[in-house]
Amino acid sequence: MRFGRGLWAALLLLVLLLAPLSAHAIGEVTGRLGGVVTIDGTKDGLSGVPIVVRSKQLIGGSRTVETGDDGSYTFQSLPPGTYELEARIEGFAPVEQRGIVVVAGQLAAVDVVLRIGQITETKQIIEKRNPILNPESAVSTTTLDNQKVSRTPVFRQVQSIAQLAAGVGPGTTPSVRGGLSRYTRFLVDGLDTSDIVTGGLSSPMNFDAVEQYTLFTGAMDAEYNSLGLVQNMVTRSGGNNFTVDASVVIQPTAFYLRNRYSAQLPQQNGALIYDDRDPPVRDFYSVNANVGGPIVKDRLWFFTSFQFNYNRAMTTVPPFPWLGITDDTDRFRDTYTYLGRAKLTWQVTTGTRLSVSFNIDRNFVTNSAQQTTLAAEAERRTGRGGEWLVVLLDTAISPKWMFQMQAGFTTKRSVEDTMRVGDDGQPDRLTPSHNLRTSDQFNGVTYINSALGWNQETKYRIQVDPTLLYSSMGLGGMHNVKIGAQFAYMSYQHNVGIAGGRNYVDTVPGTPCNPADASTHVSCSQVTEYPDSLPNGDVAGAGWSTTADAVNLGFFAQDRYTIKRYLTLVPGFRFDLGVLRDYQGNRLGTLLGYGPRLSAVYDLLHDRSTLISAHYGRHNDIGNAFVADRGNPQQLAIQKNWDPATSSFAERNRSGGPGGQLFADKVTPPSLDEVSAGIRREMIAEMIVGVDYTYRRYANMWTNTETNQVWDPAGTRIVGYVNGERRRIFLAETPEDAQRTYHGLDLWVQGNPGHWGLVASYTLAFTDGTVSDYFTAYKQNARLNALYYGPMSDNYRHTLKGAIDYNFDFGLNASVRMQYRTGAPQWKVFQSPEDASFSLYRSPRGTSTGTRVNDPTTWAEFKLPDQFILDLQFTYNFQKLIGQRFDLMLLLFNIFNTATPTSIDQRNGTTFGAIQFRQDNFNAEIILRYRY
Amino acid sequence: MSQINPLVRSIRSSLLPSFLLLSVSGCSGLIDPDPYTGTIDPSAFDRQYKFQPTSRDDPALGCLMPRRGWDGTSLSDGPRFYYFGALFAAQLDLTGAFDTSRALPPSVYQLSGCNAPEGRSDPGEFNIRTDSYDKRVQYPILSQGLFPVQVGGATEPSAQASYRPFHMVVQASLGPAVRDRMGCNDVKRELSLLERAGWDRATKTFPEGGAKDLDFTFVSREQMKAGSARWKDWPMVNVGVPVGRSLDPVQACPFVTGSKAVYPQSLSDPASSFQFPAQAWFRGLLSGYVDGGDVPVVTDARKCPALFDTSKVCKIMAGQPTGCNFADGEVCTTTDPLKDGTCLAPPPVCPVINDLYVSTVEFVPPGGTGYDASDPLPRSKATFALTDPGDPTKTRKADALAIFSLAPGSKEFSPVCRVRWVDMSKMTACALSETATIRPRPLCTVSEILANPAAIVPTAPGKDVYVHCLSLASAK
Repeated sequence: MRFGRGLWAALLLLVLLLAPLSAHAIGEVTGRLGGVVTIDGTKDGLSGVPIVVRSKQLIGGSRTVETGDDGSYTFQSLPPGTYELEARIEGFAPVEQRGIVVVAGQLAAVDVVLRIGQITETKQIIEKRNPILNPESAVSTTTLDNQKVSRTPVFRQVQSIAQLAAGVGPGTTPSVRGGLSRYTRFLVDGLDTSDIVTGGLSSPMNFDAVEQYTLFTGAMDAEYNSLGLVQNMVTRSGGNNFTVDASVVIQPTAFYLRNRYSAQLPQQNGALIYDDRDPPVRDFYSVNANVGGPIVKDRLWFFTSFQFNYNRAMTTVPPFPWLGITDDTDRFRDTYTYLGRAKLTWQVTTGTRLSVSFNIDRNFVTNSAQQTTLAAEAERRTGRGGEWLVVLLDTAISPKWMFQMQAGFTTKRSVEDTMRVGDDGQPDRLTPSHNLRTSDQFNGVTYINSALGWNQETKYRIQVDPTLLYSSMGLGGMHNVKIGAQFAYMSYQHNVGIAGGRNYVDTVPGTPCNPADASTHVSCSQVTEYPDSLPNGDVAGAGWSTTADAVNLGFFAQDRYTIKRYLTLVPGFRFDLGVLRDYQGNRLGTLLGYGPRLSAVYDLLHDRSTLISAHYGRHNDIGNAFVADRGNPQQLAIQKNWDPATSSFAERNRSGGPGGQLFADKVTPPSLDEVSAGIRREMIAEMIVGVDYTYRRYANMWTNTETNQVWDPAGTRIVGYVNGERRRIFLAETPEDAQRTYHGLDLWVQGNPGHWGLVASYTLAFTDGTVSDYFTAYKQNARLNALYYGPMSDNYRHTLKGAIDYNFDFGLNASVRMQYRTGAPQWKVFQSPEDASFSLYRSPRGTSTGTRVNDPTTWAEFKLPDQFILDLQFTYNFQKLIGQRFDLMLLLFNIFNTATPTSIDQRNGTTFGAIQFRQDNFNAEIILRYRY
Repeated sequence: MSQINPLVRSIRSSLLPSFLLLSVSGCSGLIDPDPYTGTIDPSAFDRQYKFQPTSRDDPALGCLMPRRGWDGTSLSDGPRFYYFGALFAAQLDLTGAFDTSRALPPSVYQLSGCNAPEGRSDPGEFNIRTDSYDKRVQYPILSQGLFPVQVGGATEPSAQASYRPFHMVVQASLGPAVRDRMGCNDVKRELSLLERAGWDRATKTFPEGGAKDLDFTFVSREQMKAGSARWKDWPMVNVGVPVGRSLDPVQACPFVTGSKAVYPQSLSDPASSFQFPAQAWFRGLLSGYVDGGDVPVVTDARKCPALFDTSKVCKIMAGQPTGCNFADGEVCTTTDPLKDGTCLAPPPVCPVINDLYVSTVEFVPPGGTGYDASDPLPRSKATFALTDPGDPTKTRKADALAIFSLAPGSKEFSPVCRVRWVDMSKMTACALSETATIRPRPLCTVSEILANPAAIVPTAPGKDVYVHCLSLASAK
């Protein structure tokens, strides 16, 4: 069947019908297997050859396609895993190739060479694994399987995996190639389960429930609308054999090297060196069990998992003599985490597969703030939990048409509240909090109650992503067409309030201000009043409740068009539409984005060993519940100053409340334009080396521009208000100059040559811009805008990292993980005379004024020290000794016990430059794992 | 929006000055503007120039409040002036002639002829709320070393005594080669200005033939000494300090609780009750000053009231002073043959100085308890509580009263004043009095005070007190 005019017309019609639609990131949970069948000694393709791919566990049997006119063949939509492939035709000796690894979202290229002979001859069996280069895609991809990550010291956290890929920054919600952390998307079986407000992982996930990780970091095709990392996790599905995978993680305090730094800040490893006290308590224990197997052999499988984590950390709080506390106090943060998961996979036919998975998590934390500036009763408690349900349908309508459907529901709830308990045994929402603010701003203490009040959130998302795949020959090449729609509805509800409706600022230790008590007036300085939270008698205020909704619609169409085997073009286009609504149901805005894509991959030497690629693409952020929530006013806060003349508080200004937040009428959605080019080569068997250059420009990012305050020319004082009202009025908008620019060069290597496992890279990067995140301080003080452009804090000029392991024949695997990064840019900040906050800048982003603040020639780059850390992991498999798959793992983190500062005080003052956080001490972890 | 890290640019330009020249003849023909790198940080200013309130409810600290004086003509609305604290004798040495160790006096480049070049976006109207500076006019560019700030570990100049508020004016005009390729306020640093004119940083010279494209009217030391240089009194203040226009702090100072201050909607908005200081560039940073106006100078050393103690001992011998360099205008402080004196030396060029008469009741005379030489007319006291001598229960607030020998605005008026304390109790025949419900203090004209010299509190020789007395009219 030719890819004729009719189909193009149908595609065009579909595009037009769905034109106002748009899309979000979905993930591919299947891969493709394809190649060319040639006759031995020639390069000519052989058409009409039946090719059979087999795996009972993965597809319930086998599938067959015939080679096209040029000898090429493709199997679409194969679940990731290992397959066998057979070519058998009259006149040629049959060939079977085993151990073919199919990776989600990629083409496993397997070329078959047939030798003239008899079909009855003994078939030739090739055990060699297929090449790992994907010849049809320019997408920057790193694929890691469970085995590799299990042997890598990544703390068994799924959100730590992405750090292994080139161009990905540190942290569990990393910045990728100049993007924001919030752009990171975690997909489970192709469905976006990221937090709809913060981005990143919405809840922890069982590490061993994931079979394969695919990390997309750039040059993504039209099916993705992503401005950052996409980490797709293909979960385990069970199989025809019952399996058990259980493990225990042990990391008691004794496994930590004695803390050489302040015991007062155990986790942060604070500023003091050589503290002789006993190391602070840090315990971590985890049990994890996974069971999978058949319900109906070859047809229906199940996989379940459960995990429990307990984590205890200790903070030593200094004395508060005026509170009657004269000694250091050890305060413990206890975290309990429960994770559960169940998945059913039904191979309806060899061409149809349906899976349903359910995930649940619960997380409870006491003393979660762990700040030494909080009295015990002002500490925080947190409870979180969520569920998600994912349904996947994958069906072959015909040899050329396939249909995929991914649908799901995710929900997440959380409550943060004070540790102080009221008479009813519940968190106290009646008693106001107090901050002691002495002349030394750094020693302020919050006491009597938490100044942060309470925060209850409920988030949910419904997502449906149907995709149609079509493959055919035409126009001189092979077409793999994908068209799809992506729908997501997101809702965010939250209720916030301040205990007692007031937060006082006191100036005299031990004398909480009480306007009704004249003896305390000496301590009265300031109060922030929250009318919605003011109690009515013994009944706590209701707080401030809002909802925010977002609908994302998307449509994409792309064609993976392989011409003459050696050149693949991937044109694509997508429309994305976002509709945002505020708490009153008003439509805040409609964001429309157009995302053209074009990729080209050329097989330079015509042997699939060396590929050059180029890509251009535009992605649009059409908004989520987080952005919609910005259309809601914040809780009304009225700041009052104490007037000694009247012995009462007088209003100074107010923020929040109705009218305090505006949303721009016309919004250009934030967008990413990306241009990249690269070359990759399979240097030796199963090892690729690549070089990629990437240019990215993020434009029209969200700001919350303050529109009413008039600052003095130095940006230090508010001297007037546009409308005469003493209040802040914010406008959520996407100005053109809210932007970021990234240039990066990646040199990377990955593969599994011989006994080795390699994922390593070097990245040279330049990230400059004005916006560190959405709705941050940029444009909230017009006088400082010009200083906001500079190197972003996630701009690591040089990054060298790698995870390398070696398999010894006697069952030992030794793995080393190295990370080196040049220091992150910092920015000296001054205290604003306006509100005593550290929000005033005197020099451009990325610099410090030093001591000669008025002489720019003496200003200098301001960075953290370079970071280097080396982790080791040894995994010994006892199978050869005892016949059981029993693993003993020893993880050694930071083996050189480096203590490089990871955070320093950027505030002007006596503590400027003081170290706030350091790299974690050397510590060890033991994991016992048993698999059956 | 062209955005390059200004610091990076700054470093580039310092390392590779030739790049600047290249950029002058860039492909576009436009001259790259100096990056905007923020404002002067006043946190190290001497306190009288900060006007940084410790309490936003203290109007005198929260903003720069005008004072009301009296020129002897009208009581109801006397002239208004800003007081900027003391001027020490060394500061009156405009040319640095007395202390030859000092650098040349600071200068200010007044640049004319800038045009918004074609090809660059129209600078548009200046938005006083959102714009950092006005792109339609060129602010003056200050040369080095004139701020009341502490620079590095050195205290240059950290004390008021070393702060020199008087600026020598250097006229600079853009030549036709650059006039249309450079926007207003594109130049923000003295060095940048000089390099645009061809200044060689290495040799510290202009190319042969002088400056290119920019015409400077530099002032020579001889011209300074001859009194032909133009001087301005520009006390540098926090660029963000509101400069009140009304005597009523509630009306003029936005930081006062219950303030009714009206924010200016544009530059020089007549409806506003306060303005910001005039602005200039210093080292690429935006700075603020209050324009005290031209400073008249005298070149006759004998007329200079500012005499400096040379520490040289002089005596009266045979009825004549000896030991001083009388040819250069030095005078001996003693006329008593039995007592030694010291030689006082005048600078050859010094500002014309007015007298400002204040009451000993309201301001502590030198030597009195609480007298602060650095702040002789305390700024924190914009008003005084007056008590009815006949009925102490009756009080009212009154403006601080100062009587000028010459009123601000008059032709010969100088922004530099010498303070004369007057004991009003010894003034018995003043013609004017203030009308109020309580018995007013006596008001006297300058001539009446001068007619009763016993009322003037004498100061020690060479210890006269000099202050800024900038007229409000010029403080826009």
